[in-house]
Amino acid sequence: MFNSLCEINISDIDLKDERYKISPGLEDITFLAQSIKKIGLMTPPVVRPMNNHKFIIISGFNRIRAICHNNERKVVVYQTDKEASDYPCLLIAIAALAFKRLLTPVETIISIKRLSEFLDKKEIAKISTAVFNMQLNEGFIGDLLNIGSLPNPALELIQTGNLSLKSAKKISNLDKETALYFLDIFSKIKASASVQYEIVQNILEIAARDGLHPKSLFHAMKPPNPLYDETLDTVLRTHNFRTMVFDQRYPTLSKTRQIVQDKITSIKLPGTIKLTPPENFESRKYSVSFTVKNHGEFHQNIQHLTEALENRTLQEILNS
Amino acid sequence: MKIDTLFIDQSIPLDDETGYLVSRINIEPQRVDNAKTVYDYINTADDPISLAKKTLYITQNKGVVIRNCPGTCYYTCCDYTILHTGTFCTMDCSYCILQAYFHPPVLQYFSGLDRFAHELQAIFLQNKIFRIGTGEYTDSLIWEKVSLMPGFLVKTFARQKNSVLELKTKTVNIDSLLCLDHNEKTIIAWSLNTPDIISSQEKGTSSLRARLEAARQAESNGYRLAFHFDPIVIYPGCEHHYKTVIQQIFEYVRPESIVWISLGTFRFMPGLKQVVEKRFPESILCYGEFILGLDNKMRYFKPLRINIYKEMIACLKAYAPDVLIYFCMEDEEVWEKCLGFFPGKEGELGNLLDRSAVRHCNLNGALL
Repeated sequence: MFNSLCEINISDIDLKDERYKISPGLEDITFLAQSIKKIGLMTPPVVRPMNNHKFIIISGFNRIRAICHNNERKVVVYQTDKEASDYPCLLIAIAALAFKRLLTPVETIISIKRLSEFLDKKEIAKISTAVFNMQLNEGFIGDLLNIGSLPNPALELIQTGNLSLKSAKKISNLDKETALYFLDIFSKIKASASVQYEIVQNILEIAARDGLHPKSLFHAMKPPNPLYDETLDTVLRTHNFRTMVFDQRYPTLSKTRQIVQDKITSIKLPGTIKLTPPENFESRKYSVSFTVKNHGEFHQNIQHLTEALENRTLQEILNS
Repeated sequence: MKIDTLFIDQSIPLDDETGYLVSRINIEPQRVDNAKTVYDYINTADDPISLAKKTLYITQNKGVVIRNCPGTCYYTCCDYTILHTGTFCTMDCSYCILQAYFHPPVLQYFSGLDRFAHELQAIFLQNKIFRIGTGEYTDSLIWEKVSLMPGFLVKTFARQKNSVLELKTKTVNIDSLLCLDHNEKTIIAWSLNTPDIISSQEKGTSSLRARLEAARQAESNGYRLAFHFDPIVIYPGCEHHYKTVIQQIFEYVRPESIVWISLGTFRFMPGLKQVVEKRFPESILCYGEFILGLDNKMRYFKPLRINIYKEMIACLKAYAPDVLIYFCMEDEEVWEKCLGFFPGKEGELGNLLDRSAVRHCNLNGALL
C-alpha cells in the first residue's frame, strides 16, 4: 500500500489535516523529541501525498510533532501510493497504532466510528483481528458506535476515566437531553466504574418509579444538590452525591440505617469497640468486634461491654 | 397467547391423549428427533421468551416426574411436592421467574398419562400425607381446554386418601373439571393480585373478578379452594388495594372452603431484572426497595414486607379467623412479627399445611 521510503520537507506536510488521527488530545512529546535527537527516528511516519503537493499524516503524529519541536526541516517517511484512497489509509492509521500497543477505549471508538463510513458492523468485525489486533464482535462494535454518537464531552470523560464504557453504553441508549444530564454529572464527579453505574442505574430507576425526567429529580433539594456545591472537593462531592441518590432510591432502607447508626452512636462505645448492624437488616445478626494490643486492653473492652449490657438503647437495638 | 407452532417428539404416538391435544390445538405438528430442534428454533428469535410462549413442544418428561419443591436456604419452605407435567406458560406476567429460569424457555407439555398414574400410585401407597401441585414450573390449567391431563389428575387423586392435588392458576379454565367426581382431593388455587397489578403486569391472565367468579363456581361444585397472594407488589396505596381484594374473596366464597392462603412478596433472581427491563420497558416492578436476600434473591427491604403482611393478615383474620395463612419463603422474624409464631422445626410448616389438607379434603388423618 505504501511503496516508497523517502525524505520530505516538514513544510510540505499539512499539519492541520488530522483526518487519520485516532488518538485524542496531545501527548507530551518532550522525551520522544530528545530520543529522536539522540538516537534518530527509528520508525518513519506514514504520509499520504495529496493533489496540492502537500502530504497528510496517516501515522506518526507525535513523531512529526517531535521533529518539529527539534526544529528539523526534513523527515524520512513512508509514502503511500498517490492513488491511495481514504479507506486503506485509515486502515494503516489504525493498524499502525493497534500493533504497537493496545488501543484505548476512546481510540477504538474513534477508529470504529471512522471505519463505519466504509464498512458495516459485520464487515468491521471480520477485519478486526487484522486491523485492531483483537477480535471485536458485532454487538460490541454496535455498542461502541452508539457510545461514539454521544454528545461532547462523552469521549473526553471516557478518556479521563470519569465515564466507564459500561455506564457510557447505558447512557448512549437514552435520549440526548438525558444523556447530556448524565455527562454533566460525570464531569463533576470522579467515581469507580461500579459506582458510576450504580449512580446511573439509581437515577434512572428513581425517575421511572416517580414518573419524572431524571433532570428534574433533584431540583427542589434541601440542602442543595452537592453536585453543584463548589466548596466541596471532587472526592467529597462524589460521595455526597452518591449518598443523596442512594437515599432517594432506597428511602426506607436509608432512613433505617441512619436511625440505627444514630442509636449505636448514642451508646457511646469506645472507639476500639465496633457494633455493626446486619447488612440491609435482612438477617438479625449484629456483629460486635474490638481490637486489642495487650491483655489490659482486652480487659478494658470487656469491662466496657459489660457496662453496655445495661444500656437501654443497646437492648432496644438488639431486641427490635 | 395463541399457539402458532407445534412440535412433537418423533417417538410420541398420537394416542388418545396426544391425539386429543393435537386435534384441539388444530395446528399441523412438526415431528422432531430431539429437543435441540425446538431450542434452536426458539433461540433464533430476537425475543426467545415471546416466541416460546407461542411454540408448544409435546414431549415426555425425561427426568423426575415427582420431586420436592427446591425451596431456598434460610427461608422457611412449605415442603411441597411437585408433579412435573410441563414447563413455561402461555400467559405473560412481567415478573414471571420462568423467563429467567429456563435457558431457553420452552413451553413443554409432558405427555404420558400412564407414567403419571404409575408414579402417583407409588406416592398413594405411602403412609404419609402429600400435597402435590403442578403449578411450580407452569400454570396448572393453561391446557385445560385442550388436554385430558387436568381431568385425569383430578380423577386419579379422587381414588386415594393420602394426597391432595393443588391446581394453581391465573386462568378460569375449570369447565371440564366441574362435573368430575373429585372426592374433595383436588384444591383449585388462584393466584391473586390487585386489579392494578393484574392489568399492568399479568398480560393474558384472567381478571380478578373472573378468577373469583371461577372460584365460586368451583366451590359450588364441591372443590376445595386456596389462594396465593404471590407476588405481593409494594406500591403507593397497595395496602388498601390488597385489602379490597381480600374483602372481595369473601364476597365470592366461604372461608370454610379455603384450605390455605399464602402470602409472598415479590422476589426475584437478579437476572430477571434485565429480562423485565427488556421485555416490559414500562414496568417499574423491579424499582422497589429491593435488597439482596440471604438466598441471593432480591427481596423487598424487610420492614416493608412486614408492614404489608401485617395489614393483609389483619384483614384476612377479620374475614376468616380460622383459615390457615402461611408465608412462602419467609424467615423467623417475619413469621414472628406478622403471625406471632415461627414453624422453625424441620417440616413444621409442612405439618400445619398437611393438617389443614386432612381437615378440608377428607384425607386419612391417621397419617399425620
